[in-house]
Amino acid sequence: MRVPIRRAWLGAALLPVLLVLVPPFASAIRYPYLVTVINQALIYAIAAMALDFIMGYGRLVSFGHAAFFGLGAYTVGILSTQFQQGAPFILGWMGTNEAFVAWPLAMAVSAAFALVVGVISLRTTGLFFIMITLAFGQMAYFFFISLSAYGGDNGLTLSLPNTIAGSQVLSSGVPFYYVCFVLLLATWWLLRRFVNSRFGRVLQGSRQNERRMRALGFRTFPYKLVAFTISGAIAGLAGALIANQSGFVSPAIMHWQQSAEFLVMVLLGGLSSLVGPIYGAIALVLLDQVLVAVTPHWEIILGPILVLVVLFFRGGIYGALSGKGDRA
Amino acid sequence: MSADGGMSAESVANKDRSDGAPVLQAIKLQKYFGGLKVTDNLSLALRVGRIHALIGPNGAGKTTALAQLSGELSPDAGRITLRGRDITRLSMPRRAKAGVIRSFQITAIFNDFTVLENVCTAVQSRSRHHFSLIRAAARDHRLLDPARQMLTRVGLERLADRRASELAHGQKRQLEIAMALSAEPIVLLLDEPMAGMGPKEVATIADLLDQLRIDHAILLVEHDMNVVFRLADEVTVLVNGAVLTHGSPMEIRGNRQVQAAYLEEHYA
Amino acid sequence: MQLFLEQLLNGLQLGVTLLLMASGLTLVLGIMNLINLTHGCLFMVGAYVGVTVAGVSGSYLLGVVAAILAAGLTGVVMEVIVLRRLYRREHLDQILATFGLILFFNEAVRIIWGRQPLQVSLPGWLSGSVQVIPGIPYPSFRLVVVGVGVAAAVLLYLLVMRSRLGMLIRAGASNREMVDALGTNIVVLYTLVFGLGAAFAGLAGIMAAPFVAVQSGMGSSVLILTFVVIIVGGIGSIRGAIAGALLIGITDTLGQAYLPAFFHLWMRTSAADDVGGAMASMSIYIVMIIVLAIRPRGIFGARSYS
Repeated sequence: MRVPIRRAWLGAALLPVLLVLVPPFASAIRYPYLVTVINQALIYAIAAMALDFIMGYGRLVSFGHAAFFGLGAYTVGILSTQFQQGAPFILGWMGTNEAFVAWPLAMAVSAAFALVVGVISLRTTGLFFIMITLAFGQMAYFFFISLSAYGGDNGLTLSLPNTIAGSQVLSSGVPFYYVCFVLLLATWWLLRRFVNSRFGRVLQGSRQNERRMRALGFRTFPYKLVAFTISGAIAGLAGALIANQSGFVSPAIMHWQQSAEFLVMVLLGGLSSLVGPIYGAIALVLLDQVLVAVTPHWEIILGPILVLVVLFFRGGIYGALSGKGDRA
Repeated sequence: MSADGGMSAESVANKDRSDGAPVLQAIKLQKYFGGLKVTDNLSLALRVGRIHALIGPNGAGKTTALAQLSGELSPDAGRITLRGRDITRLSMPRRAKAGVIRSFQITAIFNDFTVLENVCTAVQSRSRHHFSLIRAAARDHRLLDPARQMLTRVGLERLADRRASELAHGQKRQLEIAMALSAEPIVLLLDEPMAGMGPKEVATIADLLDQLRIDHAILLVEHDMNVVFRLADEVTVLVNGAVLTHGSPMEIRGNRQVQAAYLEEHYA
Repeated sequence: MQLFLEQLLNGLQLGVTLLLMASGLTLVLGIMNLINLTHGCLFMVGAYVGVTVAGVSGSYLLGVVAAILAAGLTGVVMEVIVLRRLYRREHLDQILATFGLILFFNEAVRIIWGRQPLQVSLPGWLSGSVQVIPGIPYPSFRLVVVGVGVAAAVLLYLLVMRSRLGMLIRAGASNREMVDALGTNIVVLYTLVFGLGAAFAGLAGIMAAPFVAVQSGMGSSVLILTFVVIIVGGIGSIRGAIAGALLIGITDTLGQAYLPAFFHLWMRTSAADDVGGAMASMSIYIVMIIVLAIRPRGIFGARSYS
């Protein structure tokens, strides 16, 4: 089926324009809370896009991505707590509140954990892979519950958001919104390049026919491992951002239900598109807000909606917008 | 690039051709599935310049033998050598890198890729830049040029931008062969390459195999006896996993045992 | 030593609960190739309905029967309305749809029973303790749980391994076309298997009710444990479910009991609590990783599920 170029382009290009306009729109209708809500969606979208990268192009259904997300958040939280307390942390280092240090570190920590998880779980495929990533996610969750030095079950409060080159610019909502927006665009650009590179060819080839790839002389494991690690690092970046947005980090963001929500965002938005998860994240966050306003028992509505989406709305929102009705 | 480094595939092939020694050799392979013996003391040799056909009734163990040669299955006993080097325990990707490339009986192409992308991926398997993450593969002429040449060679050039899943069955088989060839094999293991093709396509591929013979060692598993007798330089007949007989096409054609084995299949 | 035996019995008790859960889930995974996240909800339905009926009627036994029926019926209805449409879909779709059902069930329970955990009181004949090993009083109810669990496991084992239904189930796991060809209505067979697994989950729920908080979302942690059991034992294998359930049940219980003390031997108190606690709750996942490193398809796993 041929996709009309213009329509596919519309599905991808209209979005950034709308997202840029959110803060002025919110201030025009005197509803600044909208910026907070969409900002949260943008952060989730970064993590969900990272998940789509391995899931949509490598068929690696990770059911533990909340762990990488949470690890990034905790890295920022712990560094900031140490910095506030002024107590030596590791090798006499006092921690930091500087985004240029803390965020890359958050990505590095998440990437390191993703590398370990990947080495073990990528030996398996399909169902086993799903379950092992789930188990690793729960393991990380329980680890932080037991970590009473950093709040255990109760989590950590960040007294101040990170500074950017010493400036407190992130403490107000609109600059932080645009920082997240730029990072989302950067993630999108980078992952698109990856998908369309030689590396991406190997990844997509092994999704479609692993046996054929091996018969051509590709050892697919290293490619999957690199993709998985990249995905973990990006989820860690999203975690660093969510810690800044909510000013709070707790084990709850590593719970398996959070991993499931990332899966929901990808599928709701459209698998194998990278853009789709942005739609998915925004849709899910807005749906939550709307339903909460309707009834305190909003989950009893959201649950069946998800079931209906799976059964009847294949291809997701991006699929519907761009005319790629059925996903590959 | 061949995995041995230094020598190009072509100069290796020239050397192989001049001394006539087997390139790939299987020595007394045995394979059991549970209690069932599926490969029984199988020995065969492939030489550059010769097409070696492997025939036999259904269930004779042809595909299992091919899987062992390509490294997908490992034999329970016996050895496989590539130019004298023991490769019995080498994994399928490593064997492919060393120049042993197979095609599949059931078409194994990348359905979501275009025809051109399929072949580009195969071309890419011979290069060393897989971990290039940023450069767009779709504009990479080191992949595109050889891929387009190959498509012309197998007669698919006009379908280059079609999605592979949209091809007709015979065209998919042609693509399958194009991919195997793009991986620059020294040894080609072809599992029923012409199955399901129309007469015109069969002729194209038969001509192609005829040319390929010059600088490749080819194992041809094939059901169509006309093709076998036209192309093969030597024939091995497999029955119940064991070699029934081995000889020139002429010898095989006149062999009573072979006729009996095939008749049995028809009346079984 | 006495304490150790007591902990071992506790581990056995957790093991049989997990076994009741895992046997149904592993059949559904192995035969229908369905990732069913709602299995924890059936556990929850069993606990809630069982505790409610036991409270109203004053009979714990009646509560058990009600739990089994309610969970089994819920399972069958769910299978007919939603889940059977998912058998041939991708795992991702299955996760999503069953996750949606979890949200639905947890909220429905909150609406019906409220947010406060339910209390269950045991009848007199179950609340005492007996000395199985001389000198060690052990709560009789826990023993009953172990006994019922073992009986259920034996029943299930005989059913799957010896009966005609079991033969069809096992055949269905390896080749559904063949079962179709035998003239058996595979759709009905699947519903039956699903209902059976659901009933076992309900039984597990009501038997666990006295030890855990009966509240909305209670199924989620036991669901994850059950998945670990199945992965360790091997997908689709009843023997694997038994081995995995015992291994995980005992590892978890002994880990919680002894790992913190172990770390106290050579660490500062607060750090030992942290590390010991963390190690205790991670121990089963570590066991799982070790098992998979040695046998990537689990202890009794044969097929690859992709």
